[in-house]
Amino acid sequence: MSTSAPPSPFRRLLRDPQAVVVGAILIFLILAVIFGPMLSSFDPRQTNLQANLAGMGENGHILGADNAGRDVLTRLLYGGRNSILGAILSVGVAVAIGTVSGLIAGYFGKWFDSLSNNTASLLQALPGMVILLAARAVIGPSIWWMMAIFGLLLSAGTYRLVRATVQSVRNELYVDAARVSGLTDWRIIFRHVLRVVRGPILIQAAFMMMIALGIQAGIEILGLGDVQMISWGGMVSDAFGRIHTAPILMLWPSVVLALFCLCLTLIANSLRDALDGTQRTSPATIRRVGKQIAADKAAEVKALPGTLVEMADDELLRVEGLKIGYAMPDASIKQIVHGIDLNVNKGEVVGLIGESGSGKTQTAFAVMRLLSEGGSILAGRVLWQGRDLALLSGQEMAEIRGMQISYIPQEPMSNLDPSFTIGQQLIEPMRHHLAISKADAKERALDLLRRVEIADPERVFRSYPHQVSGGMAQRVLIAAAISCEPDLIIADEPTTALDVTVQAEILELLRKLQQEMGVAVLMVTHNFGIVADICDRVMVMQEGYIVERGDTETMFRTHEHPYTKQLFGAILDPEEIREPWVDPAPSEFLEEVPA
Amino acid sequence: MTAPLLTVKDLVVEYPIKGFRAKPFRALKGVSLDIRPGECVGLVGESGSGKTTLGRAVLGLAPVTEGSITLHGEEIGNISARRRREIGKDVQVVFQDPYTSLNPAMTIEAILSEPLLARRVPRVDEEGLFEQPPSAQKMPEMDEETLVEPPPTRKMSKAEARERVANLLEEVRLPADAMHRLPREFSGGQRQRIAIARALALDPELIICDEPVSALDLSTQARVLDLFKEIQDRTKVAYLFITHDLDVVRHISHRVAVMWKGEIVEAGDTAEVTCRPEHPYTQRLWMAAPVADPVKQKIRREDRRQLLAAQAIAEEEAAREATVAGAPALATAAG
Repeated sequence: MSTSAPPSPFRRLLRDPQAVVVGAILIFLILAVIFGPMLSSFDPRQTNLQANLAGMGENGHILGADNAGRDVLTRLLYGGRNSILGAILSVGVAVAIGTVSGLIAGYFGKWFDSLSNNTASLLQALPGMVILLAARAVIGPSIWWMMAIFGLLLSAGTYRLVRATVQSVRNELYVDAARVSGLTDWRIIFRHVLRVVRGPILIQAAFMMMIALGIQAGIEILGLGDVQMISWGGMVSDAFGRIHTAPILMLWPSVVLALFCLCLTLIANSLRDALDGTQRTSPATIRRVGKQIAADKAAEVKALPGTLVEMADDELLRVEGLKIGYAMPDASIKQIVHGIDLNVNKGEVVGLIGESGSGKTQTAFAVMRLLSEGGSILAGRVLWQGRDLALLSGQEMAEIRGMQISYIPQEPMSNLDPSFTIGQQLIEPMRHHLAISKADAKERALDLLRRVEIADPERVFRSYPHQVSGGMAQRVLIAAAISCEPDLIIADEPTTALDVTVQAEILELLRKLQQEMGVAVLMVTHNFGIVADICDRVMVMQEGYIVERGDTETMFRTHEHPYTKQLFGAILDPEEIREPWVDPAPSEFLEEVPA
Repeated sequence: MTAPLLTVKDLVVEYPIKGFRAKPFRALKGVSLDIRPGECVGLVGESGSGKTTLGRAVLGLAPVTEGSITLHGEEIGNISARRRREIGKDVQVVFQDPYTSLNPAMTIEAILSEPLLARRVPRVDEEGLFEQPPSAQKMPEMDEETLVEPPPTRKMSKAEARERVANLLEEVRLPADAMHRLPREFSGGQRQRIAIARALALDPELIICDEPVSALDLSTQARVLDLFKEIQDRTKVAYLFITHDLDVVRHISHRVAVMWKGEIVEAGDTAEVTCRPEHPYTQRLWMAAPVADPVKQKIRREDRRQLLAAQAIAEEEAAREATVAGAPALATAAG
């Protein structure tokens, strides 16, 4: 379970080549703007008619000079200060207002929540540019005021982000625990909530900065900015007047603006990836590893696909030397099941028991060829009616799944699609697999719902998953599992998510259906009670190996392997009841308990 | 007879339902319960029975609509936020999910010292507790920097807190170097031990244990349960042990209360309630849990069938006797 700690977000950022390059450009631009006066000997405002529209490199003007003979590079450096400061002002206002109001609304809620929500909606409904133009008409061409007002408009977005994040953190158990520990609300906010919020805010700030730069430049290009102030947008505006004589003047401020905005977007994206934390294996790596596994296996496989292996008459499923592995981010393969053999005969219930991480669920999924992204069968055979399932095409496998092998999941609710009625979800696979009409399928579905002892099948048929209880949903899934009369049902902890009384009903139902239909069941579980209740045979898994197997009654009586012994030893003895409570020496408590 | 430590009387908890004039949802419908010092009271029930709500109400995390909760005779149901924070010293919690109950961004030391440094707890030394002057409760609202600052007189220093954290880790059988690691480096059982250590940090008198072993593997579960028992025997802390697992409740509780649909339907000594249940629901609940023994389970299964049949007959008769018209709710059969 405990692997080496993943690197911190900052470390991850440093490992991302895009982030490093983009970050370097941003830092370079910002430093250049800060130290502008030291880098250039020109005065950005000084006009020099002799240098009018000087070309690049003429008279020491590295990027040339504009129509008034002012040095373009110097103006870029000085203008950058105003442009960037204006954007920072917007973002600062947005983050300050948005964070504080979002924290209060998200954490304390009540009347402030609805008030601030409506205010935010109002702000977001206002057209930003129009407001800024109106503001300019009232307060004059001050770019600082306009950027501050724009920040106010942007704050609605920050508010929503912070509020949503805080609301989700507030319901975390560790915040409850902190509250129980006696921490004040402010302390909880500073210690637990802000930590979670700051990442998303940082990302959003980078995006907002880009927007603010764009809006600011837009105002200035329209000629509505402060004419006295040098800025990138102002330079574009100036150059626009000379677009026929000196189009090159448009280029430099546009390039700088675009570069700066591009870098902000890219760094925000990298930040998001870095803060996301989970290291996912990229699809490319998965494909590469998958090809490599396929190549390895092709060399090893003796039988060609389609060749039948002889199996005993009553043998349904035979797994030989099954190895399962997952592709890791560094393109290595992590093996989690290390070559197991198992078999299931017709009409029997086989238990696969183990603790979390033992590979029992992965084994079940491998049989159905439903391993999640990046997982694959590394070696071994999964024999079904003489065919190796591991070698079948996706389409051939889809025919077997549902028709011959079906599945009952652990979480009934998340395995039903909330946007379809239960009836629709039952009918669809039957129409596909059994090629029957809609009316026939409906009749069959209602019949199935009756078979799983649902009292009012018509109503359940029309219901959406959220309208039924968890136990009912599991019955529906059992109905779906038996709908095409499979030979084998793989049940992955089918009662773990259910209450005890419901569990007993579901087990009873499974037993009844199993006996009626003669279907075999591979029961994945961690509960010895369920094994004792329903399984004919049981296999114990530990860390990717089957360590012991046998028929249920024998296994409960005698077991050899130390791990099996440990597991059986951990079963709480129902006979063992805690000794009664003893009154602590009364004198000890007399002092503390007021009479 | 020792006076009860915690007394819950006719407790009603209602949650508002969104919507104009919607009737609030009544999670607890008048529940009474008491816990004596050093006692473990098991609270059994299925999902939606209200058992977690009861625990949260005692912790001040659920609204008390009616009734009272008293600790040492003092009402703690609807009290000021400040008094509530002070009570955190006496009533602590261990939650079910060891993954979300620890802040993933904090080291174990930061997690465990949080309650210590937050409240200027009187420090525990070999002699026992220091007297805590009433003024110690006054705490500035926003002194979040205390973690790094040297302490004023009665505030625990960082070094002292670290020593206490080391002791706590030892108490829950974790290595001392666990301090510097993050929660994700630990397995479920180890995390639950950390959560127990956090609950023990302030030497509480009562710990609300909300399904603390349900998310753990079988062998881990047994060891953590033994740890709970051992800590109780040593420190005489009382538990309200909320669980749905009947074997667990039998193993750890002195007394058991069974909850069903927001009410306690049966309560008494563990042996009494678990061996000779009286309420039909308790009987059904007991019979539903499978025994980890194929032979005994076969018998239990048969017993359960007979019980359900007998209860169905009894219900039918009761329905016939009731002259008032009223269709028996079909919904109850849904499970």
